[in-house]
Amino acid sequence: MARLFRFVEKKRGGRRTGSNLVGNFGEALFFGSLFLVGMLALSVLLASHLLAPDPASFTIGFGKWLFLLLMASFVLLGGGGMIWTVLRIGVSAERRSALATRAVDLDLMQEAVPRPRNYPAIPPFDGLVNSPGIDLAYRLPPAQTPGWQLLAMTIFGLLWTGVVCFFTVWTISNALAGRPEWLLTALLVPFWAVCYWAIREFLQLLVVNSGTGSTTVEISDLPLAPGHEYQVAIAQHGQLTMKSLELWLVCEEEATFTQGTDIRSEVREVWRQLCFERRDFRIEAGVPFQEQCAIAVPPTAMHSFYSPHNAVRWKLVARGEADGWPAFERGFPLVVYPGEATQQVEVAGHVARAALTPPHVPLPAAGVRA
Amino acid sequence: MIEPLLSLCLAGPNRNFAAGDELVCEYQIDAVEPADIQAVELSVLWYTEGKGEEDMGVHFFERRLPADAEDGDLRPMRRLRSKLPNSPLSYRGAIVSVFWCVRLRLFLRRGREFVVEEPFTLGSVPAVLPAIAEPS
Amino acid sequence: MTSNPFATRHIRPGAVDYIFPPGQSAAALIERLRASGWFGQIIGPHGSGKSTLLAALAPALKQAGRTVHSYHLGTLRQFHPKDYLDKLPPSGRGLLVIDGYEQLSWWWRRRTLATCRRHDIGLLVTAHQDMGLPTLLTTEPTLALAKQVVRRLLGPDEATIAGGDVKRAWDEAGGNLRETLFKLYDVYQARR
Repeated sequence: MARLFRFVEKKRGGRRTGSNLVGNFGEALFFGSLFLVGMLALSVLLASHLLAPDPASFTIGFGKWLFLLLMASFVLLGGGGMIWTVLRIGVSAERRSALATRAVDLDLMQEAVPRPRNYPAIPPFDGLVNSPGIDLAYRLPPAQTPGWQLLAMTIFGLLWTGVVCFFTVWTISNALAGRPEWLLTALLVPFWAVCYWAIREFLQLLVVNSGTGSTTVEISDLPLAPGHEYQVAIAQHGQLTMKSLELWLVCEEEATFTQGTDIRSEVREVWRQLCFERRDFRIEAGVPFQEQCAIAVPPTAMHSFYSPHNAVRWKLVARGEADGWPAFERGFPLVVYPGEATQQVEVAGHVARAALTPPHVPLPAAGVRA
Repeated sequence: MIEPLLSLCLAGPNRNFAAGDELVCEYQIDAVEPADIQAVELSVLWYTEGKGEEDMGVHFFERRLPADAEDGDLRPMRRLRSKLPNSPLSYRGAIVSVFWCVRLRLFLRRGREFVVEEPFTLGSVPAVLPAIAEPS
Repeated sequence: MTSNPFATRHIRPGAVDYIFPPGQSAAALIERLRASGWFGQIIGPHGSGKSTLLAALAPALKQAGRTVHSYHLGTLRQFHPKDYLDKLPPSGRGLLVIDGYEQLSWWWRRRTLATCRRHDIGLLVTAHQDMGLPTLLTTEPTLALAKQVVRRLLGPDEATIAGGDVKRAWDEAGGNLRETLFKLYDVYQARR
């Protein structure tokens, strides 16, 4: 039973009990039901008071207020629980534990000394180095938090369902009181259709985000300098039969132009290199796939650059394809400083020859950006 | 009306500099009366060009008024030195480029302004060669 | 490093000359504006040159003796109609120019119009659809116009971009002149 429904996580050394997917699904179901019960009960209470206020109803002492508070707490707990479940997707308990252990090993003096800022127009990397890794120095934050789409759909679904529940109860109460509201009844049909769509989309996103598992990337040092080699560790969680898992080092440019009501933003990938690739393997629940590899930014590469409307960005992109799941792609930002070679007036011939731009071949489109 | 003559040049034969190099430039103003000059500004700056809004970063800036000059005359040759920074390096990308220049701006009476620029390169980042699918 | 002629610094309003349709000119449009009591609108789709036309009319408006108060409604969060309504002179030969007029709500448009009439100040706006003011010009870019603009940007000796490139970019951009120029940026960048 514990393997099917995960209400409380348990650790068995480095493993966890239960299926991530079933656990998230179960939690969403539990909190969703709590929210729905609370919402329906509140709707009945409000409808009965607004439609046909009856002093005789709910007059058992403070029962009316207690009932109101109880149902309101159901709505808050249910809604809050759904959002909490969604936000926790992708954060492992091992990670939290390892961070707590590693925190005492950090060189606090090094962290306290402010870094000199003598590299104008290069984005700060403080946000990248405040998260220590388990195997390597730093764990890179994802470029976009997994599940923002899921979170947005959750909030939308909760609000929409709440409103639809209230009006449904209102309509039914009116009908039972002999005052049917046909227009409102007719309007509720498309509202329920949207509600059905929202719940279906939410469940789909929940399954995709939970089922594919999180990807974590750690790196041996930051910021990066062109021409130097760094160690990268990638870990893929979940219970998946992987067709492929790839790690790419990518450089892209972004330009934003505003004219009138048009805000035009374009991102163009200008360089990428495959750092790691593994095909046809299986990842078991609780046993993440882990691998280390070396990466090197070409000696003549442009450094990271940031200005209000233009940017040159470097990142590691993990791309995976698994049986039964849409392909996923996750980016992890890096900061690259100017290299010794490119800070000079001319690049030496041997350096230029070693760093010829590889021909640009577009990545096949990934189905899901998580 | 005769336009003022602005002369701006970088010392040395090259227009290519390494990060941390000292940039030496000279400027001189002719064909204008000293009393007509309200101010002179010299800046060493980078700017972006491409498909986005232009951004700019000023590394060195000097504004001189007649009171700052000997005899109130801002026209005689003036030499300035500036140590160039580590970044951003000059860059010609696919949709974003970074250029460096020295810019001289002359402010005359009645709101007239004149500008000259002298571009230079900082560092040696090779240009990006964007791939465009040419029609068959 | 030479500049790409299709970079934003070369194609933004004011950087490139507006090419008037046959029979039209800045002077003729100013006369039409004068005849309508200094109230008028320039309408057209996205990227069709409305802001460029406004920039082209600025010198003629100054010559006509109007004091121009110009506002560009890029993002309303940075700008509120009260900012310009409070700054309008009480009366005189002023002209309020608003680029992106349709971004204002109906209420603020009515209030702007009433304030301008009360202060005896003209109003010239750009919009994507009819705002109820006398129409000075409807900007309608064509492929021929796009080719003219490209020739001006490239200069007489530049052969990097051919007519076929312009047509291809025009078709891909769906007739949006600004997008056409952005596509030609890539073509020029790849070939130089």
